[in-house]
Amino acid sequence: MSSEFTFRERTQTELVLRRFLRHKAAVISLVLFLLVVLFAYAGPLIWQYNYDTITDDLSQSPSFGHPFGTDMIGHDTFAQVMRGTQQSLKIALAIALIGTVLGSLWGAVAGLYRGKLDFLMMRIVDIVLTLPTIAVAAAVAAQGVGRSQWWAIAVILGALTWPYVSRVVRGVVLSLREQEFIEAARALGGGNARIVLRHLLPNALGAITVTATLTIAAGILGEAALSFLGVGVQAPDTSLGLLVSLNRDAVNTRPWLFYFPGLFIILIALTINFIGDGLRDAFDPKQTRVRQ
Amino acid sequence: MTEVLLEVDNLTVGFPTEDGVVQAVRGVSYEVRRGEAVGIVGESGSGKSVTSLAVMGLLPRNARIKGSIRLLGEELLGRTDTEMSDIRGRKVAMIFQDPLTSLNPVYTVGHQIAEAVRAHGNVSKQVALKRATDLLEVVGIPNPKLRINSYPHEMSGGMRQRVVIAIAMANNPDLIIADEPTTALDVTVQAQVLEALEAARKETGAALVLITHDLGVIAGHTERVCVMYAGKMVETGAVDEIFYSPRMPYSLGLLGSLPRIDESGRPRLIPIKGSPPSLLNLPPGCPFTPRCPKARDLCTHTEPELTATTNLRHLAACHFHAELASATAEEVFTDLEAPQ
Amino acid sequence: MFAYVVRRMLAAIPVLIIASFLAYALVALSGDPLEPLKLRNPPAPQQTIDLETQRLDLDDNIFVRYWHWLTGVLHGDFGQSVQSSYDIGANLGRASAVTLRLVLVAVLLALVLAVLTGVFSAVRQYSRFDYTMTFVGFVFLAMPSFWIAIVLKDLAVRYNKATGTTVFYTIGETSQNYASLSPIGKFGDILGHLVLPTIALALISYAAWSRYQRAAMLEVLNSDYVRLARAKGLTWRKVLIRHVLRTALIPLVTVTALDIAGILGGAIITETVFNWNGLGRMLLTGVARADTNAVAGWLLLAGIVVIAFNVIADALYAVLDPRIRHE
Repeated sequence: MSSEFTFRERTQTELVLRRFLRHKAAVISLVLFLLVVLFAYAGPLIWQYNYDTITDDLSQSPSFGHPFGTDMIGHDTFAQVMRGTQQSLKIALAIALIGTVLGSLWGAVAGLYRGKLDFLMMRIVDIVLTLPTIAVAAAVAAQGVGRSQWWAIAVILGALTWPYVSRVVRGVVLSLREQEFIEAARALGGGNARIVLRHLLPNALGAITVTATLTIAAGILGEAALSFLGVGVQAPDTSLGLLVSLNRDAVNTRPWLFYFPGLFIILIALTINFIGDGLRDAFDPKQTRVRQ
Repeated sequence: MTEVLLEVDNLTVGFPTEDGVVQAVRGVSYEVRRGEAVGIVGESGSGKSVTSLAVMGLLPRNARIKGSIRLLGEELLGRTDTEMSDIRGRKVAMIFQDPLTSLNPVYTVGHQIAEAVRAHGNVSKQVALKRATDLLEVVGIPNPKLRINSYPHEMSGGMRQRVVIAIAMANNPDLIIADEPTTALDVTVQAQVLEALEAARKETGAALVLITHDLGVIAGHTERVCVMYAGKMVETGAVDEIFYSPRMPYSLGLLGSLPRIDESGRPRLIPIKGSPPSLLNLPPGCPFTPRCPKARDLCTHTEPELTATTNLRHLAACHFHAELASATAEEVFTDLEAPQ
Repeated sequence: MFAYVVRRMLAAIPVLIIASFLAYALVALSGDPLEPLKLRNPPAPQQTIDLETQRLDLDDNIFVRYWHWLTGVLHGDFGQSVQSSYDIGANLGRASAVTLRLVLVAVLLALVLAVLTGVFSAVRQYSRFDYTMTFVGFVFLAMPSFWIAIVLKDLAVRYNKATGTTVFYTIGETSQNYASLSPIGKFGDILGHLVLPTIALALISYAAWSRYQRAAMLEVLNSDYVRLARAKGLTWRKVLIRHVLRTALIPLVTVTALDIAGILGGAIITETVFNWNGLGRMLLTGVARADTNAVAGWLLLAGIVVIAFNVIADALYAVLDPRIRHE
């Protein structure tokens, strides 16, 4: 009796990839995002102006020579947006890296050990989350060491982001540890460090990846907010947030100065959120989850 | 001859999915008479639950339903949700498998029973709660006056299921459909719940459709049995006939995998090798073919119809049902290579 | 119930104290309020610097400073500001009244809109409405809050110009002539100034909460007890109101409380765009001046607000969900 179907065994990665590719919005977003990255990093290599070049064209609306127009000093907005995107992306990725690494380790340890250690670790998380992120970031960034350096902003915001990540990872670890393969690993003599590194974290990878992606979006918006308040990236360098902030009064008279950087912030955050959504579906195709 | 209460006629239910249409039910027909207890047996995925949900009109909106379902002669398929809401709970009631999730955690048990009463009659809250207390007593819950103010999470699984039974019988329905009522419960509690079900039937005179994969439950509580496989009825008849002379290999196999205290001397349980087919792209012929030790060429291209076997009311869907007379599961299902 | 609330509040106190110490230390250690004096050209006389150092407690170590500050606060004294005439406590009070009305109205608006959208999207899953609202939600979540605020402000200004009226107030939390208005006039003035900032602040929370609510609704809609309620013979309308909404709203309570800190941050930004003189400006001024006591007081207040919301949310949750009550 021959079977009607033949199946090829698919690896976990293949399955995840396949499911992701079925998510149209996520795939389109991924393409757009890569285009933006290309624009930010490859663009300046071929574009005629630098972000700090001062041309003779003052306050010009978009044209062939200046696709995004110019400001009243003569900067080419196209070049500025490129540079701004570079800086904003750099900062956002650094924030996501710091926040995800710290948060994952913190949450994994808390979830694995439970008991008093877990209680203490999660109370520390509560403490950090009690204070509004923007307020603390502003307080530290306004005066702090390495004032307004891009890495300082990344460190500050990363330090305020890791608690969110730790909660998510702890939740995943709590549900994973109940599963039998952990018991099996222990029975085979695995110590805690080994269990965390070789069993828990790889299985939590899905949730961690999704959270990391969403943290990038949060990072972009966070940096933009800080720069808007004047305590983020400062002149002479630029970021998307700073561009919007400096040109907030031009929204009526020279809208291109305000809208183009803003649209890029939105584009980046939007595409990343869709990618994160697609990843979430790809790693866990079950129906929508609700628990924190 | 008592009148026919429910007639399901060539019911077909398909669910469109990303990979194609899943044919969960493929032409099922059966009838239930007043006061009768009918069992529907099958594995997960056989379509037994879907059939009942179709009767209640509780299938998801994208389900493609064809055929006819008649209650006391009146067609149910195609009715509006408002019309069905009138029938649900009043003429036909349903009990689901998991009592923990069947009851809303934020309302008291009494409130939820009273809600069922008030859904079909203009009665005051007090009258409805009084009826709720009476119903709790019928299903055997101690201290009913106290218990109507309990929340579901304050009760054990068995008690919760009895509350669900009380809800089902609240408006004296003509038919109660119980979908795996004891599957989620401990064996010791199962008996209590089944007792409560019997009490409900006695009190209301309702007919019963008992859906389960547990043949033991079927044996003690139903008069007739329908066996389902891969979305179709493959055998139907009186309980004794099915249990003592099954005429479809699947039924035989089911019985063989059932531990029997009354049959001493049988050394071990005989499982049916393999698993049920996917309902997505069912190949032609009898769906049991890959797992059937009696399968032959005919089985692979012609799906057998239900035909009379030992008598006119004992039907089986197998080309070779005659060969199964006085066969035992051991004879048929052992000494086999694993089917491809 | 009362005992539960009291217990939660007591448990929150150590959290608050440690948080406030962290905040105080961060601010105190990250900047030198006397920098402008020292960097002035010509630099300020040493005597002035010494007097200021003493006044602002700058020569003690961080723990002593914090202790002085904390004990002061418990007596209602929020300490010396960099600007000696600035009464920190009074300004905190004044500014909170301004900001909290913005926050409360925005939270209310966001909740109502989120529930409505979540309900409709879940009931009409996969419809055009659902897809559109999901996309709109995504877009709003990707927008920086200041961007939304600025765009709204610009639209209002254009509208005002086009119609020649001042339908939308775009600057400040009250008009110039506020003090001279009648009580009703004052109320109307406040409302008029609230409209735009509230919408700006509410939109992002709304986007996040409506997605969450949709997911919660879907989970409930597909639950067994909803199916049983239908099997009882209840119409969809009754099932929606009595069973679905009732249970699906419960997790939203927790989500709202968790987001409060973020909303306060958003309020800072919204106030900046609309030139309000509330907690936003107070914080930013304090931060720019490295005014440790002012910023620490601000953060303490923020912490109290966040914890208060969380305690209320916990109590509400217990009222709504009997399972929690019996722990």
